[in-house]
Amino acid sequence: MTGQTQDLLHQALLYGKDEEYLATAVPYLREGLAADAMIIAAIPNRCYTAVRDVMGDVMDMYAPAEDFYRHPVRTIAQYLDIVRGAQAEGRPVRALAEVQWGGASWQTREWGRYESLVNTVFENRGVSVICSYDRRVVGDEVVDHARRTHPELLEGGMFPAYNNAFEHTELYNARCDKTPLPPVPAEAVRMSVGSLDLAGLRAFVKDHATRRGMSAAVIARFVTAVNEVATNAVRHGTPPVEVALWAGADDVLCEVADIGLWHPDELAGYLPPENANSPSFGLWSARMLVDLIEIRAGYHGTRVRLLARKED
Amino acid sequence: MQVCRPVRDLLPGDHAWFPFASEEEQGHVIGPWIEHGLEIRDKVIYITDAEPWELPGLYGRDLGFAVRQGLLSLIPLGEACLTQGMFDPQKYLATLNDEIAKAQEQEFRGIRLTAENSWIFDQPFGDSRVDFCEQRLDAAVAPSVSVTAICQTDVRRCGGGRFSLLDSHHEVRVLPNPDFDDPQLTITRTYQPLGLHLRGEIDVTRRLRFAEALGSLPPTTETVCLDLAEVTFVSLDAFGVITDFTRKRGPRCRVLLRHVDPAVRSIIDVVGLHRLPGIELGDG
Repeated sequence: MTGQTQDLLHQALLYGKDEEYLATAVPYLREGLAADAMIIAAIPNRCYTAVRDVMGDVMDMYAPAEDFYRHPVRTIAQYLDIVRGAQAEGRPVRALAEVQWGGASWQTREWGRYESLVNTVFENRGVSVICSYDRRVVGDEVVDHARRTHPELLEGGMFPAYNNAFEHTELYNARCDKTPLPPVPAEAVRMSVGSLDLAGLRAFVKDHATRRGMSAAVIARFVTAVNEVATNAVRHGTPPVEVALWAGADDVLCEVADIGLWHPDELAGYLPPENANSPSFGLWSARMLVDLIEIRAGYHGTRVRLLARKED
Repeated sequence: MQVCRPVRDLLPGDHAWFPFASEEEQGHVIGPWIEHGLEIRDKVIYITDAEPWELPGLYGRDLGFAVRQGLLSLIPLGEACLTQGMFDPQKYLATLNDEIAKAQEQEFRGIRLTAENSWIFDQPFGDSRVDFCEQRLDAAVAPSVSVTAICQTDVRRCGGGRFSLLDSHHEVRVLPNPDFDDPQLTITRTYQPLGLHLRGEIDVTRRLRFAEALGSLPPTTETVCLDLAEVTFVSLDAFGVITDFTRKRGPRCRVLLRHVDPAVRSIIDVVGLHRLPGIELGDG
Protein backbone atom coordinates (compact mmCIF):
# COMPACT_ATOMS: atom_id res chain seq x y z
CA MET A 1 0.00 0.00 0.00
CA THR A 2 2.96 2.28 -0.57
CA GLY A 3 1.87 5.81 -1.28
CA GLN A 4 -1.70 5.15 -0.20
CA THR A 5 -3.24 6.49 2.95
CA GLN A 6 -3.58 4.09 5.85
CA ASP A 7 -6.18 6.24 7.61
CA LEU A 8 -9.46 4.63 8.49
CA LEU A 9 -12.51 5.87 6.62
CA HIS A 10 -15.57 4.89 8.65
CA GLN A 11 -18.81 6.37 7.36
CA ALA A 12 -22.46 5.74 8.15
CA LEU A 13 -24.86 5.79 5.23
CA LEU A 14 -28.47 6.48 6.24
CA TYR A 15 -30.71 5.52 3.34
CA GLY A 16 -34.42 5.01 2.73
CA LYS A 17 -34.46 3.62 -0.80
CA ASP A 18 -32.27 1.13 -2.67
CA GLU A 19 -31.44 3.84 -5.24
CA GLU A 20 -29.90 5.94 -2.47
CA TYR A 21 -27.87 2.97 -1.39
CA LEU A 22 -26.56 2.34 -4.88
CA ALA A 23 -25.83 6.01 -5.49
CA THR A 24 -23.23 5.82 -2.72
CA ALA A 25 -22.08 2.22 -2.89
CA VAL A 26 -21.35 1.99 -6.61
CA PRO A 27 -18.93 4.93 -6.95
CA TYR A 28 -17.33 3.93 -3.65
CA LEU A 29 -16.59 0.44 -4.96
CA ARG A 30 -15.41 1.76 -8.32
CA GLU A 31 -12.84 3.89 -6.51
CA GLY A 32 -11.77 0.81 -4.61
CA LEU A 33 -11.37 -1.25 -7.77
CA ALA A 34 -9.27 1.49 -9.30
CA ALA A 35 -6.99 1.37 -6.24
CA ASP A 36 -6.78 -2.45 -6.38
CA ALA A 37 -8.45 -2.65 -3.01
CA MET A 38 -9.79 -5.87 -1.58
CA ILE A 39 -13.54 -5.47 -1.90
CA ILE A 40 -15.54 -7.10 0.82
CA ALA A 41 -19.17 -6.92 1.84
CA ALA A 42 -21.23 -8.11 4.74
CA ILE A 43 -24.61 -6.77 3.74
CA PRO A 44 -28.13 -8.12 3.29
CA ASN A 45 -28.65 -10.20 0.19
CA ARG A 46 -30.98 -7.53 -1.22
CA CYS A 47 -28.16 -4.96 -1.22
CA TYR A 48 -25.65 -7.44 -2.56
CA THR A 49 -27.92 -8.38 -5.48
CA ALA A 50 -28.54 -4.73 -6.27
CA VAL A 51 -24.80 -3.97 -6.35
CA ARG A 52 -24.02 -7.06 -8.39
CA ASP A 53 -26.72 -6.18 -10.94
CA VAL A 54 -24.99 -2.86 -11.56
CA MET A 55 -21.31 -3.77 -11.26
CA GLY A 56 -21.10 -7.51 -11.81
CA ASP A 57 -19.27 -9.85 -9.50
CA VAL A 58 -16.58 -7.51 -8.15
CA MET A 59 -16.45 -8.70 -4.54
CA ASP A 60 -13.39 -10.48 -3.22
CA MET A 61 -15.53 -11.70 -0.35
CA TYR A 62 -19.22 -11.57 0.43
CA ALA A 63 -20.95 -12.80 3.59
CA PRO A 64 -24.69 -12.42 4.13
CA ALA A 65 -25.17 -9.91 6.93
CA GLU A 66 -27.40 -12.21 8.96
CA ASP A 67 -24.56 -14.76 9.12
CA PHE A 68 -21.70 -12.33 9.64
CA TYR A 69 -23.24 -10.23 12.40
CA ARG A 70 -24.08 -12.80 15.03
CA HIS A 71 -21.59 -11.96 17.76
CA PRO A 72 -19.82 -8.57 17.93
CA VAL A 73 -16.51 -9.79 19.37
CA ARG A 74 -16.27 -12.68 16.92
CA THR A 75 -17.18 -10.37 14.05
CA ILE A 76 -14.36 -7.98 14.93
CA ALA A 77 -11.91 -10.88 15.08
CA GLN A 78 -13.12 -12.18 11.73
CA TYR A 79 -12.85 -8.73 10.17
CA LEU A 80 -9.38 -8.22 11.57
CA ASP A 81 -8.22 -11.54 10.14
CA ILE A 82 -9.49 -10.49 6.72
CA VAL A 83 -7.78 -7.11 6.98
CA ARG A 84 -4.51 -8.71 8.08
CA GLY A 85 -4.74 -10.99 5.05
CA ALA A 86 -5.18 -7.98 2.79
CA GLN A 87 -2.28 -6.18 4.49
CA ALA A 88 -0.11 -9.21 3.87
CA GLU A 89 -0.95 -8.89 0.17
CA GLY A 90 -0.23 -5.16 0.32
CA ARG A 91 -3.80 -4.22 -0.57
CA PRO A 92 -6.16 -1.73 1.06
CA VAL A 93 -9.61 -2.91 2.11
CA ARG A 94 -12.85 -1.36 0.98
CA ALA A 95 -15.89 -2.72 2.76
CA LEU A 96 -19.64 -2.41 2.67
CA ALA A 97 -21.29 -3.35 5.93
CA GLU A 98 -24.79 -3.45 7.34
CA VAL A 99 -24.94 -4.64 10.92
CA GLN A 100 -27.94 -6.70 12.01
CA TRP A 101 -28.77 -5.00 15.27
CA GLY A 102 -30.93 -7.61 16.98
CA GLY A 103 -33.92 -7.04 19.20
CA ALA A 104 -32.75 -7.06 22.81
CA SER A 105 -31.48 -3.83 24.37
CA TRP A 106 -28.14 -5.44 25.24
CA GLN A 107 -27.75 -6.51 21.61
CA THR A 108 -28.29 -2.96 20.41
CA ARG A 109 -25.79 -1.70 22.97
CA GLU A 110 -23.16 -4.29 22.02
CA TRP A 111 -23.51 -3.71 18.30
CA GLY A 112 -23.17 0.00 18.98
CA ARG A 113 -20.02 -0.78 20.92
CA TYR A 114 -18.86 -2.85 17.97
CA GLU A 115 -19.36 0.09 15.59
CA SER A 116 -17.41 2.29 17.96
CA LEU A 117 -14.57 -0.23 18.30
CA VAL A 118 -14.14 -0.26 14.53
CA ASN A 119 -12.66 3.23 14.90
CA THR A 120 -9.88 1.86 17.09
CA VAL A 121 -9.30 -1.64 15.75
CA PHE A 122 -8.93 -0.64 12.11
CA GLU A 123 -7.09 2.61 12.60
CA ASN A 124 -4.05 2.90 10.32
CA ARG A 125 -4.71 -0.37 8.55
CA GLY A 126 -5.76 0.95 5.16
CA VAL A 127 -9.44 0.24 5.71
CA SER A 128 -12.44 2.09 4.29
CA VAL A 129 -15.88 1.01 5.38
CA ILE A 130 -19.34 2.31 4.74
CA CYS A 131 -21.87 1.04 7.26
CA SER A 132 -25.34 1.33 5.86
CA TYR A 133 -28.50 1.88 7.92
CA ASP A 134 -31.80 1.21 6.23
CA ARG A 135 -34.20 3.72 7.76
CA ARG A 136 -37.11 1.46 6.76
CA VAL A 137 -35.76 -1.19 9.14
CA VAL A 138 -33.87 0.48 11.98
CA GLY A 139 -35.42 2.79 14.55
CA ASP A 140 -34.29 6.10 15.99
CA GLU A 141 -32.29 4.43 18.76
CA VAL A 142 -30.08 2.63 16.24
CA VAL A 143 -29.70 5.78 14.14
CA ASP A 144 -28.61 7.56 17.31
CA HIS A 145 -25.95 4.89 17.87
CA ALA A 146 -24.86 5.31 14.23
CA ARG A 147 -24.37 9.03 14.73
CA ARG A 148 -22.36 8.50 17.88
CA THR A 149 -20.07 5.87 16.40
CA HIS A 150 -19.22 7.14 12.91
CA PRO A 151 -16.94 10.11 12.38
CA GLU A 152 -18.71 10.88 9.10
CA LEU A 153 -22.31 10.61 7.95
CA LEU A 154 -23.68 10.14 4.44
CA GLU A 155 -27.26 11.26 4.33
CA GLY A 156 -28.10 11.65 0.69
CA GLY A 157 -25.75 14.53 -0.14
CA MET A 158 -22.71 14.37 -2.38
CA PHE A 159 -20.30 14.72 0.52
CA PRO A 160 -20.16 13.37 4.04
CA ALA A 161 -22.00 15.55 6.52
CA TYR A 162 -20.31 16.99 9.57
CA ASN A 163 -21.19 14.80 12.52
CA ASN A 164 -21.07 16.59 15.82
CA ALA A 165 -22.63 13.63 17.67
CA PHE A 166 -19.56 11.44 17.18
CA GLU A 167 -17.92 10.09 20.34
CA HIS A 168 -14.48 8.57 20.57
CA THR A 169 -14.32 4.88 21.38
CA GLU A 170 -13.23 5.32 25.00
CA LEU A 171 -16.07 7.72 25.75
CA TYR A 172 -18.68 5.65 23.96
CA ASN A 173 -17.47 2.49 25.66
CA ALA A 174 -17.52 4.14 29.07
CA ARG A 175 -21.10 5.26 28.50
CA CYS A 176 -22.09 1.69 27.56
CA ASP A 177 -20.58 0.44 30.79
CA LYS A 178 -22.60 2.89 32.85
CA THR A 179 -25.86 1.17 31.95
CA PRO A 180 -27.00 -0.45 35.20
CA LEU A 181 -27.32 -4.22 35.26
CA PRO A 182 -30.65 -5.70 36.33
CA PRO A 183 -30.38 -7.14 39.84
CA VAL A 184 -29.54 -10.80 40.36
CA PRO A 185 -32.90 -12.55 40.78
CA ALA A 186 -33.77 -14.15 44.11
CA GLU A 187 -33.99 -17.62 42.56
CA ALA A 188 -30.32 -17.54 41.48
CA VAL A 189 -28.11 -20.30 42.90
CA ARG A 190 -24.97 -19.04 44.60
CA MET A 191 -21.51 -20.24 45.46
CA SER A 192 -18.55 -18.65 47.23
CA VAL A 193 -15.10 -19.03 45.74
CA GLY A 194 -12.13 -18.85 48.05
CA SER A 195 -9.16 -20.09 46.08
CA LEU A 196 -7.85 -20.68 42.58
CA ASP A 197 -8.85 -24.32 42.80
CA LEU A 198 -12.02 -23.93 40.76
CA ALA A 199 -12.88 -27.57 40.07
CA GLY A 200 -15.88 -27.25 42.40
CA LEU A 201 -17.06 -24.10 40.67
CA ARG A 202 -16.81 -25.74 37.25
CA ALA A 203 -18.90 -28.68 38.45
CA PHE A 204 -21.42 -26.25 39.99
CA VAL A 205 -21.77 -24.24 36.77
CA LYS A 206 -21.97 -27.33 34.59
CA ASP A 207 -24.58 -28.95 36.80
CA HIS A 208 -26.86 -25.92 37.10
CA ALA A 209 -26.51 -24.89 33.45
CA THR A 210 -27.47 -28.43 32.42
CA ARG A 211 -30.50 -28.37 34.71
CA ARG A 212 -31.57 -25.09 33.15
CA GLY A 213 -31.54 -26.56 29.66
CA MET A 214 -28.22 -25.40 28.24
CA SER A 215 -26.94 -27.71 25.50
CA ALA A 216 -23.73 -29.68 26.06
CA ALA A 217 -21.87 -27.86 23.28
CA VAL A 218 -22.60 -24.46 24.83
CA ILE A 219 -21.87 -25.61 28.39
CA ALA A 220 -18.22 -26.38 27.63
CA ARG A 221 -17.67 -22.83 26.39
CA PHE A 222 -19.73 -21.29 29.19
CA VAL A 223 -17.81 -23.18 31.89
CA THR A 224 -14.47 -22.16 30.37
CA ALA A 225 -15.51 -18.50 30.28
CA VAL A 226 -16.82 -18.52 33.87
CA ASN A 227 -13.62 -20.26 34.99
CA GLU A 228 -11.55 -17.51 33.37
CA VAL A 229 -13.56 -14.68 34.92
CA ALA A 230 -13.53 -16.34 38.35
CA THR A 231 -9.77 -16.90 38.09
CA ASN A 232 -9.32 -13.17 37.45
CA ALA A 233 -11.58 -12.31 40.38
CA VAL A 234 -9.63 -14.54 42.79
CA ARG A 235 -6.25 -13.41 41.46
CA HIS A 236 -6.86 -9.68 41.13
CA GLY A 237 -10.06 -8.96 43.01
CA THR A 238 -10.79 -8.59 46.70
CA PRO A 239 -12.52 -11.40 48.56
CA PRO A 240 -15.18 -12.53 49.10
CA VAL A 241 -15.79 -13.71 45.56
CA GLU A 242 -19.40 -14.75 44.99
CA VAL A 243 -20.82 -16.54 41.96
CA ALA A 244 -24.52 -16.49 41.12
CA LEU A 245 -26.21 -18.40 38.31
CA TRP A 246 -29.74 -18.18 36.96
CA ALA A 247 -31.61 -18.60 33.69
CA GLY A 248 -33.91 -16.63 31.46
CA ALA A 249 -36.20 -18.10 28.85
CA ASP A 250 -33.49 -18.58 26.23
CA ASP A 251 -30.26 -17.95 28.10
CA VAL A 252 -28.23 -18.72 31.19
CA LEU A 253 -26.52 -15.96 33.15
CA CYS A 254 -23.70 -16.11 35.64
CA GLU A 255 -22.32 -13.25 37.69
CA VAL A 256 -18.93 -13.24 39.40
CA ALA A 257 -18.68 -10.49 42.00
CA ASP A 258 -16.00 -9.34 44.42
CA ILE A 259 -15.60 -6.21 46.48
CA GLY A 260 -12.50 -4.91 44.72
CA LEU A 261 -12.50 -2.07 42.24
CA TRP A 262 -11.29 -3.28 38.90
CA HIS A 263 -10.11 -0.67 36.43
CA PRO A 264 -9.84 -2.62 33.21
CA ASP A 265 -8.55 -0.97 30.09
CA GLU A 266 -11.85 0.11 28.49
CA LEU A 267 -11.06 -1.90 25.40
CA ALA A 268 -9.57 -4.91 27.16
CA GLY A 269 -11.11 -8.06 25.93
CA TYR A 270 -12.60 -6.60 22.76
CA LEU A 271 -9.52 -6.24 20.61
CA PRO A 272 -8.31 -9.56 19.22
CA PRO A 273 -4.94 -10.45 20.77
CA GLU A 274 -2.00 -11.55 18.70
CA ASN A 275 -1.81 -14.92 20.43
CA ALA A 276 -2.41 -16.83 23.65
CA ASN A 277 0.51 -15.11 25.39
CA SER A 278 -0.96 -11.64 24.95
CA PRO A 279 -2.15 -10.15 28.27
CA SER A 280 -5.77 -9.76 27.15
CA PHE A 281 -6.09 -13.26 25.68
CA GLY A 282 -8.06 -14.63 28.65
CA LEU A 283 -10.72 -11.94 28.80
CA TRP A 284 -10.97 -11.69 25.02
CA SER A 285 -11.41 -15.47 24.73
CA ALA A 286 -14.05 -15.43 27.44
CA ARG A 287 -15.93 -12.79 25.46
CA MET A 288 -15.63 -14.98 22.36
CA LEU A 289 -16.95 -18.04 24.20
CA VAL A 290 -20.21 -16.56 25.48
CA ASP A 291 -22.73 -14.18 23.94
CA LEU A 292 -22.11 -11.31 26.29
CA ILE A 293 -19.83 -10.26 29.12
CA GLU A 294 -20.62 -7.05 30.95
CA ILE A 295 -18.34 -5.52 33.55
CA ARG A 296 -19.48 -3.03 36.15
CA ALA A 297 -16.91 -1.71 38.57
CA GLY A 298 -17.60 0.87 41.23
CA TYR A 299 -17.67 1.75 44.88
CA HIS A 300 -19.55 -1.42 45.80
CA GLY A 301 -17.15 -3.75 44.01
CA THR A 302 -16.76 -5.36 40.63
CA ARG A 303 -19.39 -7.48 38.93
CA VAL A 304 -18.77 -9.43 35.76
CA ARG A 305 -21.87 -10.89 34.21
CA LEU A 306 -21.81 -13.57 31.52
CA LEU A 307 -24.74 -14.46 29.31
CA ALA A 308 -24.98 -17.40 26.91
CA ARG A 309 -27.90 -18.66 24.91
CA LYS A 310 -28.98 -22.15 25.85
CA GLU A 311 -28.63 -23.38 22.28
CA ASP A 312 -26.08 -22.48 19.62
CA MET B 1 -8.13 -56.74 26.45
CA GLN B 2 -4.78 -55.52 27.68
CA VAL B 3 -4.68 -53.25 30.72
CA CYS B 4 -2.20 -50.36 30.75
CA ARG B 5 -0.81 -49.66 34.19
CA PRO B 6 1.90 -47.39 35.59
CA VAL B 7 4.83 -49.47 36.78
CA ARG B 8 4.23 -48.44 40.39
CA ASP B 9 0.79 -50.09 40.27
CA LEU B 10 1.95 -53.56 39.20
CA LEU B 11 0.76 -56.27 41.54
CA PRO B 12 1.84 -59.84 42.31
CA GLY B 13 0.42 -62.09 39.65
CA ASP B 14 0.97 -59.51 36.92
CA HIS B 15 2.85 -60.88 33.93
CA ALA B 16 3.46 -57.54 32.29
CA TRP B 17 4.95 -56.43 29.02
CA PHE B 18 7.06 -53.36 28.56
CA PRO B 19 7.82 -52.44 24.96
CA PHE B 20 10.35 -49.61 24.81
CA ALA B 21 12.07 -47.69 22.04
CA SER B 22 14.97 -46.01 23.80
CA GLU B 23 17.31 -46.55 26.71
CA GLU B 24 15.83 -43.45 28.33
CA GLU B 25 12.36 -44.94 28.20
CA GLN B 26 13.64 -48.25 29.51
CA GLY B 27 15.36 -46.53 32.40
CA HIS B 28 12.28 -44.45 33.18
CA VAL B 29 10.28 -47.63 33.88
CA ILE B 30 12.71 -50.33 34.98
CA GLY B 31 14.87 -48.12 37.21
CA PRO B 32 12.07 -47.01 39.58
CA TRP B 33 10.61 -50.53 39.63
CA ILE B 34 13.89 -52.09 40.77
CA GLU B 35 14.61 -49.27 43.16
CA HIS B 36 11.22 -49.48 44.81
CA GLY B 37 11.49 -53.27 45.02
CA LEU B 38 14.79 -53.01 46.87
CA GLU B 39 13.39 -50.32 49.12
CA ILE B 40 10.56 -52.51 50.35
CA ARG B 41 12.89 -55.52 50.48
CA ASP B 42 11.35 -57.50 47.63
CA LYS B 43 13.58 -59.97 45.85
CA VAL B 44 14.61 -58.61 42.43
CA ILE B 45 15.78 -61.12 39.82
CA TYR B 46 17.12 -59.69 36.58
CA ILE B 47 18.38 -61.89 33.72
CA THR B 48 21.09 -59.69 32.27
CA ASP B 49 24.78 -59.46 31.51
CA ALA B 50 24.86 -55.98 33.03
CA GLU B 51 26.81 -55.17 36.17
CA PRO B 52 24.90 -53.82 39.20
CA TRP B 53 25.90 -50.25 38.34
CA GLU B 54 24.77 -50.58 34.70
CA LEU B 55 21.08 -51.30 35.20
CA PRO B 56 18.53 -49.24 33.20
CA GLY B 57 17.65 -46.04 34.97
CA LEU B 58 20.16 -46.76 37.74
CA TYR B 59 23.37 -46.21 35.84
CA GLY B 60 26.22 -45.43 38.21
CA ARG B 61 24.22 -46.33 41.31
CA ASP B 62 26.01 -48.60 43.74
CA LEU B 63 23.69 -51.57 44.20
CA GLY B 64 26.47 -53.82 45.54
CA PHE B 65 24.85 -53.81 48.99
CA ALA B 66 21.64 -55.22 47.51
CA VAL B 67 23.56 -57.99 45.77
CA ARG B 68 25.45 -58.81 48.97
CA GLN B 69 22.24 -58.91 50.98
CA GLY B 70 20.66 -61.26 48.43
CA LEU B 71 17.97 -58.72 47.52
CA LEU B 72 19.20 -58.34 43.94
CA SER B 73 20.23 -61.25 41.73
CA LEU B 74 21.70 -60.44 38.36
CA ILE B 75 21.95 -63.69 36.41
CA PRO B 76 24.08 -63.57 33.27
CA LEU B 77 22.43 -64.80 30.07
CA GLY B 78 24.94 -67.64 29.62
CA GLU B 79 24.12 -69.01 33.01
CA ALA B 80 20.39 -68.40 32.80
CA CYS B 81 19.32 -69.40 29.33
CA LEU B 82 22.05 -70.19 26.80
CA THR B 83 23.16 -73.59 25.63
CA GLN B 84 26.10 -73.47 23.25
CA GLY B 85 25.38 -69.80 22.64
CA MET B 86 21.76 -70.39 21.67
CA PHE B 87 18.66 -69.46 23.62
CA ASP B 88 17.41 -72.53 25.43
CA PRO B 89 13.80 -72.10 26.59
CA GLN B 90 13.88 -75.09 28.94
CA LYS B 91 16.98 -73.79 30.67
CA TYR B 92 15.47 -70.31 30.90
CA LEU B 93 12.27 -71.55 32.53
CA ALA B 94 14.19 -73.84 34.85
CA THR B 95 16.39 -70.93 35.97
CA LEU B 96 13.40 -68.77 36.69
CA ASN B 97 11.61 -71.52 38.57
CA ASP B 98 14.75 -72.18 40.66
CA GLU B 99 15.20 -68.52 41.48
CA ILE B 100 11.53 -68.11 42.42
CA ALA B 101 11.66 -71.21 44.60
CA LYS B 102 14.82 -69.97 46.36
CA ALA B 103 13.27 -66.58 47.01
CA GLN B 104 10.14 -68.17 48.38
CA GLU B 105 12.22 -70.34 50.68
CA GLN B 106 13.93 -67.19 51.91
CA GLU B 107 10.44 -65.86 52.65
CA PHE B 108 10.56 -62.75 50.53
CA ARG B 109 7.17 -61.12 50.56
CA GLY B 110 7.47 -60.06 46.93
CA ILE B 111 9.54 -61.34 44.01
CA ARG B 112 10.23 -59.14 40.98
CA LEU B 113 11.36 -60.83 37.84
CA THR B 114 12.55 -59.15 34.66
CA ALA B 115 14.46 -59.85 31.46
CA GLU B 116 14.83 -58.29 28.05
CA ASN B 117 13.76 -60.69 25.32
CA SER B 118 14.09 -58.92 21.96
CA TRP B 119 17.54 -60.41 21.20
CA ILE B 120 15.98 -63.88 21.08
CA PHE B 121 14.11 -62.96 17.90
CA ASP B 122 17.44 -62.68 16.10
CA GLN B 123 18.12 -66.37 16.70
CA PRO B 124 16.83 -69.32 14.67
CA PHE B 125 13.32 -70.29 15.78
CA GLY B 126 13.34 -67.20 17.99
CA ASP B 127 9.64 -66.49 17.51
CA SER B 128 8.45 -69.94 18.47
CA ARG B 129 10.84 -70.10 21.43
CA VAL B 130 9.60 -66.80 22.79
CA ASP B 131 6.05 -68.00 22.26
CA PHE B 132 6.81 -71.21 24.18
CA CYS B 133 8.48 -69.37 27.08
CA GLU B 134 5.84 -66.69 27.43
CA GLN B 135 3.03 -69.24 27.63
CA ARG B 136 4.72 -71.11 30.43
CA LEU B 137 5.86 -68.01 32.25
CA ASP B 138 2.30 -66.72 32.23
CA ALA B 139 1.09 -69.98 33.71
CA ALA B 140 3.69 -69.67 36.48
CA VAL B 141 3.23 -65.99 37.32
CA ALA B 142 -0.50 -65.37 36.93
CA PRO B 143 -1.66 -67.50 39.88
CA SER B 144 1.16 -66.34 42.14
CA VAL B 145 0.57 -64.10 45.13
CA SER B 146 4.19 -62.99 45.31
CA VAL B 147 5.70 -62.90 41.82
CA THR B 148 5.52 -59.92 39.46
CA ALA B 149 7.21 -60.19 36.06
CA ILE B 150 8.10 -57.61 33.45
CA CYS B 151 9.13 -58.86 30.01
CA GLN B 152 11.04 -56.08 28.32
CA THR B 153 11.11 -55.74 24.54
CA ASP B 154 13.14 -53.31 22.50
CA VAL B 155 10.59 -52.60 19.77
CA ARG B 156 13.33 -51.37 17.45
CA ARG B 157 14.34 -55.03 17.13
CA CYS B 158 10.85 -56.42 17.04
CA GLY B 159 9.02 -55.97 13.76
CA GLY B 160 6.33 -57.79 11.88
CA GLY B 161 3.99 -60.00 13.84
CA ARG B 162 6.30 -60.21 16.84
CA PHE B 163 4.75 -57.16 18.43
CA SER B 164 1.28 -58.71 18.33
CA LEU B 165 2.68 -62.07 19.46
CA LEU B 166 4.10 -60.51 22.60
CA ASP B 167 1.06 -58.34 23.05
CA SER B 168 -1.18 -61.40 23.07
CA HIS B 169 0.81 -63.11 25.82
CA HIS B 170 0.50 -60.31 28.37
CA GLU B 171 -2.57 -59.00 30.07
CA VAL B 172 -0.83 -55.94 31.39
CA ARG B 173 1.22 -53.37 29.54
CA VAL B 174 3.54 -51.26 31.65
CA LEU B 175 3.59 -47.46 31.48
CA PRO B 176 6.01 -45.09 33.16
CA ASN B 177 4.99 -43.67 36.51
CA PRO B 178 3.21 -40.32 36.21
CA ASP B 179 5.37 -37.21 36.50
CA PHE B 180 2.52 -35.65 38.41
CA ASP B 181 -0.58 -37.19 39.88
CA ASP B 182 -3.35 -35.78 42.02
CA PRO B 183 -7.12 -36.23 42.01
CA GLN B 184 -7.50 -33.50 39.39
CA LEU B 185 -4.68 -34.11 36.94
CA THR B 186 -2.31 -36.90 36.00
CA ILE B 187 0.65 -36.22 33.73
CA THR B 188 2.58 -39.15 32.30
CA ARG B 189 5.52 -39.02 29.93
CA THR B 190 5.09 -40.90 26.64
CA TYR B 191 7.85 -42.04 24.33
CA GLN B 192 6.03 -43.34 21.28
CA PRO B 193 5.21 -40.66 20.29
CA LEU B 194 7.30 -38.39 22.44
CA GLY B 195 5.20 -36.21 24.68
CA LEU B 196 2.75 -36.37 27.55
CA HIS B 197 -0.40 -38.25 28.32
CA LEU B 198 -2.76 -36.16 30.40
CA ARG B 199 -5.82 -37.13 32.36
CA GLY B 200 -8.29 -34.88 34.14
CA GLU B 201 -8.49 -31.08 34.14
CA ILE B 202 -5.69 -28.64 33.34
CA ASP B 203 -6.35 -25.37 35.10
CA VAL B 204 -4.43 -22.50 36.60
CA THR B 205 -3.61 -24.38 39.81
CA ARG B 206 -1.84 -27.11 37.83
CA ARG B 207 -0.19 -24.66 35.45
CA LEU B 208 3.23 -24.95 37.00
CA ARG B 209 3.19 -28.76 37.01
CA PHE B 210 2.07 -28.82 33.40
CA ALA B 211 4.76 -26.32 32.39
CA GLU B 212 7.40 -28.35 34.27
CA ALA B 213 6.36 -31.57 32.55
CA LEU B 214 6.58 -29.89 29.14
CA GLY B 215 9.91 -28.34 30.07
CA SER B 216 11.32 -31.72 31.07
CA LEU B 217 10.96 -33.09 27.53
CA PRO B 218 14.24 -33.35 25.64
CA PRO B 219 15.21 -29.91 24.29
CA THR B 220 15.88 -31.27 20.81
CA THR B 221 12.32 -32.53 20.39
CA GLU B 222 10.65 -30.83 17.45
CA THR B 223 7.22 -32.44 17.72
CA VAL B 224 5.69 -32.95 21.12
CA CYS B 225 2.46 -34.97 21.28
CA LEU B 226 -0.05 -34.26 24.01
CA ASP B 227 -2.60 -37.02 24.33
CA LEU B 228 -5.76 -35.32 25.59
CA ALA B 229 -8.13 -38.28 25.26
CA GLU B 230 -8.85 -38.23 28.98
CA VAL B 231 -8.77 -34.46 29.46
CA THR B 232 -12.16 -32.90 30.10
CA PHE B 233 -11.17 -29.30 30.73
CA VAL B 234 -8.35 -27.04 29.54
CA SER B 235 -8.25 -23.52 30.92
CA LEU B 236 -7.41 -20.64 28.60
CA ASP B 237 -4.31 -20.14 30.69
CA ALA B 238 -3.11 -23.66 29.81
CA PHE B 239 -3.12 -22.82 26.11
CA GLY B 240 -0.79 -19.96 27.01
CA VAL B 241 1.52 -22.47 28.73
CA ILE B 242 1.73 -24.49 25.51
CA THR B 243 2.31 -21.54 23.21
CA ASP B 244 4.89 -20.17 25.63
CA PHE B 245 6.64 -23.55 25.50
CA THR B 246 6.73 -23.60 21.68
CA ARG B 247 7.93 -19.99 21.58
CA LYS B 248 10.82 -20.76 23.91
CA ARG B 249 11.75 -23.93 22.02
CA GLY B 250 11.99 -22.05 18.74
CA PRO B 251 10.23 -21.96 15.40
CA ARG B 252 10.70 -25.64 14.60
CA CYS B 253 8.92 -26.80 17.72
CA ARG B 254 5.27 -27.78 17.45
CA VAL B 255 2.86 -29.34 19.87
CA LEU B 256 0.43 -31.82 18.41
CA LEU B 257 -2.80 -32.20 20.38
CA ARG B 258 -4.16 -35.70 19.92
CA HIS B 259 -7.55 -37.22 20.72
CA VAL B 260 -8.97 -33.87 21.74
CA ASP B 261 -12.30 -34.08 23.56
CA PRO B 262 -15.10 -32.29 21.61
CA ALA B 263 -15.65 -29.91 24.54
CA VAL B 264 -12.00 -28.83 24.44
CA ARG B 265 -12.03 -28.75 20.65
CA SER B 266 -14.93 -26.29 20.63
CA ILE B 267 -12.85 -23.85 22.70
CA ILE B 268 -9.97 -24.07 20.21
CA ASP B 269 -12.36 -23.55 17.30
CA VAL B 270 -13.79 -20.38 18.82
CA VAL B 271 -10.51 -18.70 19.78
CA GLY B 272 -8.89 -19.83 16.53
CA LEU B 273 -5.95 -22.14 16.06
CA HIS B 274 -4.01 -19.31 14.42
CA ARG B 275 -3.96 -17.55 17.80
CA LEU B 276 -2.27 -20.60 19.31
CA PRO B 277 1.05 -20.54 17.43
CA GLY B 278 2.92 -23.81 17.49
CA ILE B 279 -0.18 -25.85 18.34
CA GLU B 280 -1.58 -28.30 15.80
CA LEU B 281 -4.44 -30.75 15.95
CA GLY B 282 -4.12 -34.30 14.75
CA ASP B 283 -4.62 -37.87 15.71
CA GLY B 284 -2.04 -39.26 13.33
